[in-house]
Amino acid sequence: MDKVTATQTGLLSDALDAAGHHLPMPCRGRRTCGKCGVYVAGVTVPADEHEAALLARYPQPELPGYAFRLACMCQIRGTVAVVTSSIAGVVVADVGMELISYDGTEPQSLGCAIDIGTTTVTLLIFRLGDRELLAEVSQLNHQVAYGSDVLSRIDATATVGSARLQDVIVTQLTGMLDTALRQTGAQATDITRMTITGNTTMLHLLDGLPVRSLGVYPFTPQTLFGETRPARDIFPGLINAELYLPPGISTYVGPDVVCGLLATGVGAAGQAELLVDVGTNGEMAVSDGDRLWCCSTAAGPAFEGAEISAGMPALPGAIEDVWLADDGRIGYRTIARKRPKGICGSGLISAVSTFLDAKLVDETGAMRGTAIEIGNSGISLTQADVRRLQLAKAAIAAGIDTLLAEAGKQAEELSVLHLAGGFGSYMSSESAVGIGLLPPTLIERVSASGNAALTGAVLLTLSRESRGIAEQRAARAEEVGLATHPVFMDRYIEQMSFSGDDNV
Amino acid sequence: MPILDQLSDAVQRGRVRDALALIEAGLADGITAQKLLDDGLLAGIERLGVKFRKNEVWVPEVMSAARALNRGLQILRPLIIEAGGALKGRVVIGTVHGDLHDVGKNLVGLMLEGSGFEVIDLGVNVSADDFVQAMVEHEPDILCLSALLTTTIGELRGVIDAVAHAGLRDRVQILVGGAPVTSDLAIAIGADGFAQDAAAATELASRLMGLAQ
Repeated sequence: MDKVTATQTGLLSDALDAAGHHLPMPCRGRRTCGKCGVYVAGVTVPADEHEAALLARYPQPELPGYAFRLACMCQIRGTVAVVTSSIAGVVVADVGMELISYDGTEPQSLGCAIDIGTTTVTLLIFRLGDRELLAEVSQLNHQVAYGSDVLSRIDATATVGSARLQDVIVTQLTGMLDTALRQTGAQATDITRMTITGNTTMLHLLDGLPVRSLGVYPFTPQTLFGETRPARDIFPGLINAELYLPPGISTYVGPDVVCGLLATGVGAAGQAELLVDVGTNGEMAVSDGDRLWCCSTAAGPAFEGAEISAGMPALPGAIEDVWLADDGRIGYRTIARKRPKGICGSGLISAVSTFLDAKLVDETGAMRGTAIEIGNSGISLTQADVRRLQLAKAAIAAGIDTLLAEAGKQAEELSVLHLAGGFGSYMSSESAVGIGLLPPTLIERVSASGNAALTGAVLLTLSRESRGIAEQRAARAEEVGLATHPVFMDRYIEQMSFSGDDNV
Repeated sequence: MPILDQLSDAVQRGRVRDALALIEAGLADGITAQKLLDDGLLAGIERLGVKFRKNEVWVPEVMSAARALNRGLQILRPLIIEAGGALKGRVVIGTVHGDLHDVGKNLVGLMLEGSGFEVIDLGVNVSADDFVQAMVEHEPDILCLSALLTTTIGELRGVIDAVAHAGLRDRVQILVGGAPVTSDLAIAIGADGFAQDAAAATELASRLMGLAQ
């Protein structure tokens, strides 16, 4: 958790900005999304009805001495102390929103949680007793030298062998762990618990297991993990630590998704909720409060800015937000307000949503002309870019439609749509609904859950009891195979249009 | 606008009811079924194919158009055969073993059918043995193989080898396609042709049968 103090009279979000603490504001402070929540102590004007209504939508656990408020609406009078959660969701927890806390006997010892993403690897070190975050290291997965997606990595093992890819990731993790330990001034021996999550293929490669069967139908994994072993098997220096590898559901709905279920509470009894992780592979799960269904769908790399003519990762200079101003002109904002260099996934969605509003692109995706410049940024989207987005969007939206059909639910019957993944957290829900990526009826119920896989890994590190919850949930989940699903095939074609209708 | 142009337009817009009404009107006006097919339905599909390659239209529009084409064909085909016209040839199509992708494969099948081929679709995850079996059973002129995963394109060669092993290679033209497939790969594995999209596959199939489209 991050603690900051801010002094000013006025809006808390402005005060935080002035204090150099830039809070993610998905709706740009338009008071619609309810996602800029923080814990505040100090003199504040009580929440008005609108804020209270937004706050009531996503109940948060209590933090003694603090009130949970939305930074875009909370008026402050003087100095306040603010707690934001940088391990987003460690504050939030599973069943019944109770805090999951350490269940061991050495509260001063350290925990380590790692998420091996196909693209990005993130490692956290935190004190187990009070969950204080001590170090965070994030790097590009060094296996990208062997291909950017899961299938090309699997393909690469045919020529260089699984052992080579295992060596790459283990060497990288060892280096990241050293860096993190140096930052904290702690010893490797202080770590007593570790959890490593990731998709099923990433954990196979961590273990040096053969992965050929993961690349072809019926996509059979060697193991689905869900096991505790000594951490020194992988990191010889971690002599005091146990390593937990969370359970997966299948090859394409892996331990990372199960961690996301734990972090968001999707699949807990009683609540009908949806979890969507938007990435190269879109993974989603829906619970009707009793049963739990999940699936995975290949969206391709468009949401990461790849395969888009001016695409780039979400780095300074990437256009991240686009809008239609009152005077009819197209406005845009880049990350860190730098000179525009390209466009990232959230910018792409926002730009196309704006072009649809401005009637520069019609609902079939046809563009006026062959390219459209985003305002005066010098960055343009081409007709081919829009087509790539249509494919990516259709895969996710049709996956959601298929899960809802399996569950016999209408979108509006769900109480929360949890958006996981770095991209999901920064994407504006209005733009996502604008291009038909997410169901319009859920726009008011979107909750950004950040890197839910990593949050889940933190919870599993803190609490052995939570491992049982994760394992039960993985065992209970019913995977819906989309490739041969008649609803998916129909909806996939229909969802390629931005209106999501079959425009015959 | 003349009826044939209207028909071409209706197909491009995927308007099934309009297309069927125009076919009836054309037949009533004395236009031959063959002409309605060639200069109406197929002309429309061809123009749409050009737009598709320029990204001006997208998969849903092509699917809708293919649907209109096939509904029109159900009326026209019996009339063409009755008038002494022939099918262009017989095609067996399928997605290779280990791969469940079928949108592209279906589109190619629909377009081939629309352009006058008899199409036997074996579905997805089809083993090399099943392709060979289907060749023995249906004696197709053309075998179309689809693979969409980098992990399954190797299977294309597997099917071609199995066909050769069964002694059937010189009886059939083999076309391959799918997102990761390239014309270099097609040559390397001994296929007879590669097509980038459904419209190109139809042109190529017609060319291989020695029929100008």
